[in-house]
Amino acid sequence: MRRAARVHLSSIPALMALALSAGVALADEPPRATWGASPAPSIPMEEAAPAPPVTGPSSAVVDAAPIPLPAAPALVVPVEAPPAPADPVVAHAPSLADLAPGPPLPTPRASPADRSASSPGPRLRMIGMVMDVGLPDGAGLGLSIRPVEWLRVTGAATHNTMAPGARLGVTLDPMPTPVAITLTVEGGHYWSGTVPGIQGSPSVAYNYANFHAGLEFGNRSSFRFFLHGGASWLDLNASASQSALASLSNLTYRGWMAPSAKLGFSLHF
Amino acid sequence: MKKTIALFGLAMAACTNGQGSVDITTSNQAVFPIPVALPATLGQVSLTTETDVNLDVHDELASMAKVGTLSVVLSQDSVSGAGLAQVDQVTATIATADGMMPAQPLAQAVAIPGSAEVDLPSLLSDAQVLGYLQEGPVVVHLTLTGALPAQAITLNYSLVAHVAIGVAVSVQNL
Repeated sequence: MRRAARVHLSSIPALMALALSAGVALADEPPRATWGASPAPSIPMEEAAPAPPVTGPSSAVVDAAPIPLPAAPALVVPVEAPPAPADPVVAHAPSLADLAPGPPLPTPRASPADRSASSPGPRLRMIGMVMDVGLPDGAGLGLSIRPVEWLRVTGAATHNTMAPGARLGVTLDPMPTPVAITLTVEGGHYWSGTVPGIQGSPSVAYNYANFHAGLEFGNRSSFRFFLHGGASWLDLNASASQSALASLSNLTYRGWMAPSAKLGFSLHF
Repeated sequence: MKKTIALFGLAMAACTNGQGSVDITTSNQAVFPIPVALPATLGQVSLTTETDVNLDVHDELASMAKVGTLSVVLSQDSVSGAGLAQVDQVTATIATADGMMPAQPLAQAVAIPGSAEVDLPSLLSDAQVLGYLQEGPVVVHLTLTGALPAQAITLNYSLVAHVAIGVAVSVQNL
């Protein structure tokens, strides 16, 4: 053992020369980046090439167990081995090009579910028309606006065979199903008019408000046929009616009319 | 077509529930003959004249009664005209034309000298007046007393009834 140690000490100058050359090699090697790329794997001692036995004049030295030099073999390999890609150590060593700012890292691809959630979806058909007929609405033809899927705001010109009128309304349409239940609140006005074909008919004007539940058929976003029913509030005024012996004037009615109903369709583009 | 018919039937079955009102106005000319002298009282000489005015709002009230219960308020019952200048007192009675409801005092008023219109405050309740008006044509008998001129007097008799209707009826009866 003492001899082995002595032999080993005799080889220190040579080892120092190797170590110096390895240090130069390490100094030339760029610093290893620890981010972005996988770290260079450490070389386990078992995988390292066995240290060549230090040859000496005595064959006993060959038989003697060599003193393991932990770092030397690992340091020697990169210096002596060509920077072949096959060498795992060299292959994983980052180069200067690796440290340069590269293109941004690719973002993870969205899953199909994510794509469906972020995609704009079908276009909201906001503008449309509505046509209906009923009581006390008369016949109506108007514009329908859907600011959101479940809401319809309508404005219509109406006629009750006596005079023209106007109507505004809001329909809540929360069900996207082909058959849906809706709620509608509308308010309208009819200007004064006489009953056609009746001589001396009083001139009638009225305001009304509809409170309707509806049954609607079709696609909510495009075409729907509807049947609305419920109650309506009337505020009616009629002008004088003259008979031979008396005149009727200031005819008014304020109250409910139920049921009131109408049917029609809405079409959105 | 079936839906149209169904909607029409629904409209005809619709019911109303509210309050209606209408003013019925009658305005008739009352021609009073030449006044006659009343028996002298305390030395004062008084003349009188009388006439009948026919009113018929039966049909109108009957139509309204079909759609609800009626109540009436006489908002105006008056005589007017230049001939009132010398009238001291106006009295009125009401009776149905067919005699089914007997004559009752309707109003009595003292005229202000020189005025051209006299209001006749009703001596009957509004419901009683409505009963007469609903029964059929009525006769309002007007009597003028005072220092009347010796000539026929023409006045205008006006009655305005504000009729309230508690409407609760199918639309088809409106």
